[in-house]
Amino acid sequence: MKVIEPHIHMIARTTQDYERMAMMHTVCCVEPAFWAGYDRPSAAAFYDYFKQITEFEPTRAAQYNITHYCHICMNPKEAENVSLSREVISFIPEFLDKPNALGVGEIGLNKNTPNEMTIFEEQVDLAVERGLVMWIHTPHLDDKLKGTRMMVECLKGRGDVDPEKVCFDHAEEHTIGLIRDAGFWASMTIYPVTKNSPSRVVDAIERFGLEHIMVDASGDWGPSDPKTLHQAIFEMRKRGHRDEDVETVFYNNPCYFLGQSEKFAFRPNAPREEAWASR
Amino acid sequence: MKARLPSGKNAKQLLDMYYLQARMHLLETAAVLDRIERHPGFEGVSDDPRLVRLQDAARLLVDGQGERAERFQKLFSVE
Repeated sequence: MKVIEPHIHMIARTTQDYERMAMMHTVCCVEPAFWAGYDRPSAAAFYDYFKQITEFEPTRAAQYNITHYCHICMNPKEAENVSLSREVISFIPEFLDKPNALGVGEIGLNKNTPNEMTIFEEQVDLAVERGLVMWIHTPHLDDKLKGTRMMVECLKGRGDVDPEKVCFDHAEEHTIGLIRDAGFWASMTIYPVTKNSPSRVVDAIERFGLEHIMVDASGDWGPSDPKTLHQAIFEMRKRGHRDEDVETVFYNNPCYFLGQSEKFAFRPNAPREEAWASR
Repeated sequence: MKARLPSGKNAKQLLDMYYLQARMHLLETAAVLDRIERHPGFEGVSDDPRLVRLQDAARLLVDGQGERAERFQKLFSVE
């Protein structure tokens, strides 16, 4: 079974992680632009980072037969600095034109501040203008529910956002329903302490069904591992779910979402009406 | 609390699969509470909002209502 990793920060991983991912049948990964773990000192630092994820990372992934895509944006953490954010946003279009850049992400909120919301909306404008998919970061821990609600209400209120082109990531038990009820995609991130566990991810799939749902390992600076995606696959199989349903979550669903970009080369193994059909 | 995509297991099988894991998590939490309680200065933190919230969460587990994980998350969310 082929696996697509829809959200992972490979800049934070060693090349050995590409090797491990390839051995676990990952054929494709998507790397959204994110916070470096420290606040970057200038717009030039962002320019250099965007060059790395659009030019260098695809070559590193290709050594292991993994196709590397990315999303580009000003991240929610550093969006608090509005002037720096606008300077960065001014050259984002140059990188959105790169062959492996699929959409705008991971935009979103961090502490749910007015400045973060301003920069979120300006980048939504950019994605809508270009017809691109959006990958949205929902806040950590206590801030997640409020921030998710704020962004869902914002996007629904605009009237010009196609919900099929939007995925809210880091979704958990208390946000998946409100995301999906609004028509958006939800992705669940597996982190051992601060987000989901493999078991809770499969619980959510059982509770909410197969439609508009993905899983990712994210894998950045904190304790995380690309293997967690495959632990969730094993958990789903261990509970007796059909191979077709496992493949729907971990390969076909990313194809349905990411395939809305013409640059995305992978095709699903079944039409979604068939893959998502109730049994 | 009916599942939209039921697994191939029944409740007894799932209890057999997850009993030790659940026991482990509860035991770990019990140990953390004990650890805090037996160290100097416990009187100063016994009414810390975080401890109060943990106790509320523990009561939620056995209140006989469903969707415990979702209610747990909302208990720990800011509005």
